[in-house]
Amino acid sequence: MAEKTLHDGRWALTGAALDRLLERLDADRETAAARYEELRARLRALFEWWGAQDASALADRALDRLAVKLLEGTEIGATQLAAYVRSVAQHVLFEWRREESRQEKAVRDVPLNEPVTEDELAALDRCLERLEADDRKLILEYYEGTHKATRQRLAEKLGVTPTALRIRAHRLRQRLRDCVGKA
Amino acid sequence: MAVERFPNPDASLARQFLLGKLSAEASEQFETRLLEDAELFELVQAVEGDLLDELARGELAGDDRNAMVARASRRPGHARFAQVMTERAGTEKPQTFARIALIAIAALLVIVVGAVLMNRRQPQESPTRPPVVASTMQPAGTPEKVAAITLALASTRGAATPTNKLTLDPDTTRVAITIRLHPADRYARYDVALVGNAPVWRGTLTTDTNELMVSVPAASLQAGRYRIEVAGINGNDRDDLGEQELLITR
Repeated sequence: MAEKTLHDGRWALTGAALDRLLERLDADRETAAARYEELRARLRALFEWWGAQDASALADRALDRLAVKLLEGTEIGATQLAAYVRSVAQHVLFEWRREESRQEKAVRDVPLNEPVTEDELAALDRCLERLEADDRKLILEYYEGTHKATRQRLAEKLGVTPTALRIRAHRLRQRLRDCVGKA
Repeated sequence: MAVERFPNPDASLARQFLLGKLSAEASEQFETRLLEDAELFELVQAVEGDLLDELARGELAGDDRNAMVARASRRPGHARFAQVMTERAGTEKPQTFARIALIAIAALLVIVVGAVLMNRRQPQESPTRPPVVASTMQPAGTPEKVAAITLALASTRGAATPTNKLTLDPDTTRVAITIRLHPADRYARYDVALVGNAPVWRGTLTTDTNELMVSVPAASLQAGRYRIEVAGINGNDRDDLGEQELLITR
């Protein structure tokens, strides 16, 4: 008999179910924990891309559901885990929409028209200063040269593919965004 | 354009996925891959960041813009960062509603004034009108009489277009030429040349909007055909953005 509880219409994870999920992700406990976090991050992004606003909570709910299914003995082929996780996530999304009818609120006002303030620019400048000189130069050139041919030339100058350039810019963008968020 | 910008097939797929353009079956396959492929997942995040930047620069329109506005609403911090970074890098600022409204009002005024004046002077004019907005205006409180014309440069690029015409009255003192750029053509500087039988004017301009303004003395423009040439410049890179023909009559 699977250890599970149903609380307010939501599955709650038990220790045994979590253990079962971690075992399924990897035999090594630490590696399994890392893979759990990776999967949670991707699920969270998937829920956001699907239009859900409570993406973190829904990612947790999907993983809880997966863990309980595994504990119940559901067989999932070695190459089928991702497809199974996706189907669980989609089911969770449908439930969430039914429960809350939140999809009508999905688009809220975005401050696209508010002028950028001097404080925001100053915070960004401080964060840019914390980057290595090469990284700072790269991200500024990436933003200054938005034309396809210009970015192609920047990639060639750096000796990387356009996709690799995009990934490097993305990682720098993440660092800056995190930095500005803490400023 | 999307394929050109993203020669990597996965990047192109990511863009279509984020803009809601994949079929249900293709989306399901793509989402399943996303959950097991760390590199693909990071690439989608990177493409999403680029799309938010494009939104901040005002480069998206129609369904693409709507899709990204919806995404921005779920990632307000990311969308705001795109705006701030775009501002800092000196690329195009977001198109505010106020700016769009001002441009629309200005264009409407020019159309109305131009139509009234042209109708008064040339009631027999052919119904085939060039794709331009033209007028002759007397700025209040100044002795100068300005003839203004707007050329939609990029929208007609690569296509055969009717000649843009501007009639100068004998007392016109100055000609103001507004060049409307394609929203995707964002550059730090623009090299603009007005050329007749010989160069009339050449200069390097910057802009915070989609428009460039060239103002020359009316006396420098005799009746005849002229050509406006525009190139975008970023650093040492120069891209020809197109040209438009202008017919001056007196």
